Amino acid sequence: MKEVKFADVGEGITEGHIQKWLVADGDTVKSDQAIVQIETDKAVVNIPAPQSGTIKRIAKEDTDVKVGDTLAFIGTPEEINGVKNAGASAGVSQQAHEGQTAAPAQKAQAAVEQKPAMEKEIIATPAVRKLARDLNVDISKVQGTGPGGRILENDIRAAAAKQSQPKPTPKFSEVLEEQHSEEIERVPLSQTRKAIAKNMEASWTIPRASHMDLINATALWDMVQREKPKAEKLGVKLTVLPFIIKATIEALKENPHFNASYDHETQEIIVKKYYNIGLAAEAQDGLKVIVIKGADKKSIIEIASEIEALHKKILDQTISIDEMRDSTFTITNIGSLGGGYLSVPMINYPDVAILGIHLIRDMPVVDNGMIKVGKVLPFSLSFDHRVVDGAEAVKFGNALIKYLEDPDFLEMLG
Amino acid sequence: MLGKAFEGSIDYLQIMDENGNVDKSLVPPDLSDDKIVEMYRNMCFARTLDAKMLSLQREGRAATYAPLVGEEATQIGSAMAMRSNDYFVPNFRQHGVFLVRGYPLENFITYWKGFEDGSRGLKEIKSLDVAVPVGTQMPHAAGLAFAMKYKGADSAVVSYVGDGGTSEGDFYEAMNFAGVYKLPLVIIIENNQWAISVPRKKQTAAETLAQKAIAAGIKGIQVDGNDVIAVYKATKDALANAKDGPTLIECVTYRMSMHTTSDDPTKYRSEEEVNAWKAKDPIKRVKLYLMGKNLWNDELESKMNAEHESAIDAAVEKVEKEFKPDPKSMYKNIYSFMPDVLNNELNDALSENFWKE
Repeated sequence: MKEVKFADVGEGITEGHIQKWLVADGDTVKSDQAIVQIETDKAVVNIPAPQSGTIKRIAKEDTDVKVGDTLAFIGTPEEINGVKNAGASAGVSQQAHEGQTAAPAQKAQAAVEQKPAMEKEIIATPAVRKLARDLNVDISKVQGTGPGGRILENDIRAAAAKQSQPKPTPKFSEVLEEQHSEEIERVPLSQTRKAIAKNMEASWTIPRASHMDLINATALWDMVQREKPKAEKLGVKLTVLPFIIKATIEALKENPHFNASYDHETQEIIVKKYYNIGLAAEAQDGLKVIVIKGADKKSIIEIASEIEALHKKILDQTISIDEMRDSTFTITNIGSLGGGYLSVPMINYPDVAILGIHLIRDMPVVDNGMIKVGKVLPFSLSFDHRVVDGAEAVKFGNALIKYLEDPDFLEMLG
Repeated sequence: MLGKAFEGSIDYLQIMDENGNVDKSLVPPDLSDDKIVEMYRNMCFARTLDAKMLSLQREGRAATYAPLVGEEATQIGSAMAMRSNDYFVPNFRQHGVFLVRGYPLENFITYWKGFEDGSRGLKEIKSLDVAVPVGTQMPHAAGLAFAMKYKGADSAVVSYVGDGGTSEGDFYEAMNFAGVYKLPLVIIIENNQWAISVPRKKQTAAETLAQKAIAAGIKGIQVDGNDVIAVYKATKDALANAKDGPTLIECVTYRMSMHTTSDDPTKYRSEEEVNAWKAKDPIKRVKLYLMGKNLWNDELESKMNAEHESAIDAAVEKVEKEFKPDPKSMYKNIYSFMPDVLNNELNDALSENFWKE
């Protein structure tokens, strides 16, 4: 097995940045085939494979590597299987693997670390040393920028200027580490949580507003109870959700700017004439969005069974990326979690809007001047205010109410 | 009175165009089809070796390297025109010339791995050392040509310089000296359009580099440097004339890759420019010519490539397995004798067991 290390690819290069892996983990590579693209301060270079074989990537994309760090291993599939996975801390090669295979990398790392300690000798002219004393600078702490690490007059002046500056406010994490080092624990984000964090940060760039209203879902509720046994015979567990999806699509057709994305660069609304309805779903490792593609062309039963199937895949962790993307509008069923009254959902970027539906409760409903007990479904709609305004949100909400309270419409779907 | 003090002009020579069409009236009589096939094989070998050296450098198995890709015709054409008794004086990019002169591949690889040991064997191929400081090889070349003339030897000197090198004083001095003493010197300007990041138009306001010959009172010609036959003819003619004095040959070619492995050409030149030169590739046109004459086919091509690759791989393996650098050698090759200061340093290192495995 061959260890692929990052070499000095220029003259005096000490580190590089992994721009892109050109092969996947476990790929078979040929000798001299470019495997990874690394940017140094001089050039972007392709690093080739020193021999043919199966590759195990060690260094992570978008991290920095030092000359001598391990980039990958190349060998037979059996040899590669023996290499442990790279640790969570990216780009640090000595953490990347344990046991026997770690030995060369650790050695390299140790050599790199020892070097500065050995070279603690201060190289500076007497004039520079005097300047340091005059300006109250501890010359042993100054990093020289001259040839061979020679400390220059400017280095001393820069160090002095730094000393006189007020110390920057420490980061909150530094304060925590200092005051509660025994009482805190750092938990790395899972891959899913990292993806969620990234999506939420993207979502936060959308200037949004929310609209909220109530739906008298009594007719809808009755309808679902009535149709449930029929659906069960078909092996499908019926809920209100497919009906809400259908009503949403009708409301989207009347208000097409909600089934859209905003193109910030061209300042255009990309109106979508297909209806892929995203549904937020809680998986073991965090929130995921399953997508019912072409939901306008599917029946209630088809939608219900597809939701079930995709949910199962979420639980089995067999869901594919393809089944989770290209939504045109998203619904988050907060009610299914068993609590809450109204919430302000985050838009599923780059959609224009998201509909939050909440727990259906028995609540007083005024009908013809009489108070009755009805099934009430509160909903909230978060929308991109660059694309649509409150007036359109109310129009959308009213359309949704119209369809979900209309027994004829529901009957037609059933 | 106003009269003409001097009038001069520079010829341009192209024999094989980009599509492999050949002007038969200009082809040297000794250039058989077999020899053109040999030229083709040499150019391909140089390119394959070049790619391998770049790979080795990126893997940390070779030191800084100056790729030749794109300049094969200039190097192979001129090298194949040289006679065995001629000397050649390189800068740092004439890998193709070294190959044609019969320099052992193992030595070549050892040298570019950063070891002077690779320079052993230069005497056998009548070459001076690789010269990295730009233009410094030129006075050496003129001196060598002076020696040949002085000794009455039937040898000429072929010297290489880049377009950037032509702006150095060394270049003018060497050319001027060779002109005055009518030395057997052929100066080949490998004009690859770029001196690291400085474009050809920043080297001189003169329209051609070849016209610098006029000032020195020597023969000068500009040649399509991507036309191996034109380069061959121009070099052959210059060598035939060497007894009567020097010739300056400007080969107009293009450096398709980086100056050396330490720079990034995408930072200083456009992709359009590179693409325009791709069409003028020196190897492609010879292949078209040979295929048109049924002297070459895909089967021969893949067989040749496989042979080249395995020869190179075997040489790399041999060097990596067998060559053991001697750290003490870094003190040699600096002065003709060992000064005390270096000797003391060496002894200190030895007494401290600095090179302990």
